This record gives sequence, C-alpha cells and structure tokens, in this order.
Amino acid sequence: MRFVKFVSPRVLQGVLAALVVAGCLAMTANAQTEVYNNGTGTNNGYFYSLYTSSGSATMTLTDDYGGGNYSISWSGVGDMVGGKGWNPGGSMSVGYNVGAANGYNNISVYGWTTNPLVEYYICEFGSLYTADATYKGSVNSDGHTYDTYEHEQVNQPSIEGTATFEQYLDNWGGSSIGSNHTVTTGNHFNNWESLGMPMGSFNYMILGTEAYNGASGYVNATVW
Amino acid sequence: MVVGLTAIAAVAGDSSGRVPDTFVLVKGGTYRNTTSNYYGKGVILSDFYIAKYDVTQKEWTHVMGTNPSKFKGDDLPVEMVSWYDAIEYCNQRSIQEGLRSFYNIDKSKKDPHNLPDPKFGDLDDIQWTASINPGANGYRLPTEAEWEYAAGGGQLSRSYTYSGSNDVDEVAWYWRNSGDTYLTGYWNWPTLQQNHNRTHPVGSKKPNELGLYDMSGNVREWCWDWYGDLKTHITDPQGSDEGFRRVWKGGGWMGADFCTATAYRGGLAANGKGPDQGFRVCRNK
Repeated sequence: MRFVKFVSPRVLQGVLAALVVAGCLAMTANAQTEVYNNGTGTNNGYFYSLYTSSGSATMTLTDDYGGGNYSISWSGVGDMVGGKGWNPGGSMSVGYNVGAANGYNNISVYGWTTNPLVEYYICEFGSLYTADATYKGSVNSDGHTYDTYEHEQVNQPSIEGTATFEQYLDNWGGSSIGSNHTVTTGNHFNNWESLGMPMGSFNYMILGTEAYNGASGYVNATVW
Repeated sequence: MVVGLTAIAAVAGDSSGRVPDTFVLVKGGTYRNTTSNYYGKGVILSDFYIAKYDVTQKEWTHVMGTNPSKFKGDDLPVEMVSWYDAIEYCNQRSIQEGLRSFYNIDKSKKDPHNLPDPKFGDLDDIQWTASINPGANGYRLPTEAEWEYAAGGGQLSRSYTYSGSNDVDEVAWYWRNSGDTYLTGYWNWPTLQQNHNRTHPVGSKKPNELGLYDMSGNVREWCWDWYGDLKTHITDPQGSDEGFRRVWKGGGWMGADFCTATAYRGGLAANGKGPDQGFRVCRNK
C-alpha cells in the first residue's frame, strides 16, 4: 500500500479535546487487540493493516460499535499508514465516524483491483497530492463534490511485482469529526468507468490514515 | 538445498562451444501439464536446452562488467535488467564463448512492431529492432511456450500448479516467504519493505520434474515473445508479431502466489526494470 503524499498537512487540534471525549473515551471497555508498528489480519470480520517505516505506532482494534472500531497513536513516524475495512472491497456503502484525529496527513478510502491493476483513493480528510496527476473531472456523491485525477505509476511495486499501473484519486477532504458519514463507493467506481478509467477485480479496501515527516498524532475511527 | 557456485562459475568463459553442465536438455513434444495454457491446443515444441538457474550476478558481471542488481550477491539472480539488457547479455555471452549470436540487434532503427501502450502511450524509450537467427547456436531467451513447457515439467510433468509442486512454499520465493518472517494476511507493499523481502540464492528451493530451479518465484523471467494472444496448432510458436510489452513468467519475490503459477502470464514494457525482474537463458539443441 503506497499512499500518495499530500499537498499540505491538515491538523485539527482546535476541536480535538472535545472530540477525543466524544470519539475515544466514550468507548466501552470491551475486548481489544493491540498491533505494534506493523501487522495485517482480520478483526471482528474486518480486514486491518498497519505499517510504520520509522518511529512507533500502536493500533488498537476493538469490538466496539459493531466491531469496526480502531485507534492508532503514532510518534515521530517517517511514514505510517493504517486502517480497517473489507476484503474484498467493492461497490458498497462505507459508513464511518472519525471520532478524533490529529497529526495526520490524509484519511481516505483506499483499495486496489487487479486486471487491470489499479490503486484508488477517495479522500475524506486532508488532501491527496495531485500536482503530477491528470485532472479528469469531478463527481458528486454523498452530498459533496470530489475532484477526480488519474496518476500513472511506472515500474512501481505491485501485487504482480514491478508494474506500470494507474492510481485513481478522488479528492475532497472536507469531512467532519465526530459524526456519521457515508462513502458510496459505487458512485466513484461508476464515474471512473465513465471517464475511461476501468476497475478490475477487487482486493481489500480500508479507511486508511497516513502520517509522515516525523509526525505524531492519533486517530480513532469506526467503519461499518 | 543451496547449489555450489563452482559449476556456475565454470560456465562463464567457456569457449568450447559445448552446452554447459548447468543446462538441461528439454525433450520436446506436446504439453502434458494439464494446467498449461497450451494443454490440448495442438502446440508442439522441439528439443532445446535451458539453464537450471536464473542468470546469477556472478554470471552477469563476468559477461557485462557491471552489476545493476538492487540486492547484491554472486549467487543471487541478476535483476533490474530490461528485456533489451537480457538479449544483449545473450549475444555478449555468445561472443565470449565463440558461439554465433542468436539475436540481430539494430539500435538505430525504431521497431515498427513496438506499439504504444493503449493506456500509457510510449513507455518504451528504447525500441531497438531485434530479430532472431533461428539456426544460431548462441544463448537466447526462452519463448513463452518453451518457458511454460519446461516449468510445467515437459514430458515428465506431474501437472503441478507451480513449477515442481502444488505447495508454493516448497518451490518458490514469493511475497509471503521472501523476507525476514513469513507474512500472513494480505499483500501490502510497505509490509514487504519492512520485512526486508528480497531475492534469494538461486537453487535454494526444490527443483521441478526436469531439475530446473526457481522457475516459480525469486525473480520473474523475461521471455522472447510480445505479449499477445496464444497461438494454437503450431510448432515452436514465437509469440505475437507485435505488441507493447514483452512476456514475463514465473512471478518473483515481490508478487503474489498466483503469479508464480506456471500458467500465469505477465507483461512489461521491454525497457521496464525492477528488483524482481531477471531471466534465464536457453540454447538450441
């Protein structure tokens, strides 16, 4: 998984304190699993993944809120990506609530397909780096507008080995902390198809958070 | 089982014209591996020789003088080589050993059969024109048909999915087993980096029915063919007449297990390079 870099980090410290209370401390003390720095697997029927390149990160997987809850705290990370979701992904209504988030660069629905090999991003918080991508249009979904970009990855790592493939980037980033939101992924997939950006067979799909450049921070999110 | 390098080292610089001991004579015929794309399609192959191992960095450096590989080691497979690099190696090694070059390479003529990628345009900025001398005794790449036939066990085939086994871990270095620890879960590139996934010494997994190592996994292997529709009812097919990428087979340390199945077909622009992209060589009988 290679998240694209960001135009600018977005830090939401101003509203953090109240939201931590709402999103994090409100959790009940049910069973939980901790993952340190790196790991992938299944928790309560949800796929999860955590990667840390340097520094440290701890991911806590809980069975709260239907089993899709997790939190990650990180410190001084070179790059950290983590999240929870589904395998396989596909056209579905992704529900999420980010109860708290600070020190991150991007929170996106992220996934990929094979045949053709495609990585895709639907950015809910922060912003995707699109300076070297091609603007293709826009799509309205779930009450707001995403800008659609296509980015060519030449001779880059993939599940098939070194390959040349596309990234599809739907950039919004205007979501809000502490309330329920929906990503109707089929709207994005259909729009990409209509723009000549075909999808293949779905592999995993997560609501992922990325932080980098020595960042420290925290996210608490639930997907369903 | 890790092969000693004395035999490999002895190959380089041989000027007798004989086929090295590290090659296997593959008896031709029709496909017996039921998983093959060519099974029951009326494709017949002639006998040919194929190397037991991927071209190692020791072999490459002896012939080419430099080592482009990301992961360094004499007995590791060479990688970060394009298809053009591979055919140049073949000719250069042939010349060193007094053999007739199998390939005609015209670097001044842009190959009209090298088409733009329909999705990405002209990825290949080299586009040399290459043709073959069919009767030459020099080193060459396998055709896709030859590669799949040999990887599938030839006439000794037991119809394994992977080259030499139905258990991928027994015969192949691929993303789960090619790093510090065995990875579980789902393919994830950052996890592979963190786990130091990499190439491994050639011949360190179980061989297939013909005694060939690493046909599945370790590095993907360039074949001669343009990637295109497979031909049927033909003897010694050479692939499509034109295309925008060359075939690779066998999967590598980076990719998923499905890529290491002998029937899996991959393609990459001929100038493409990666730390999981290498090759092995053949010779005519």
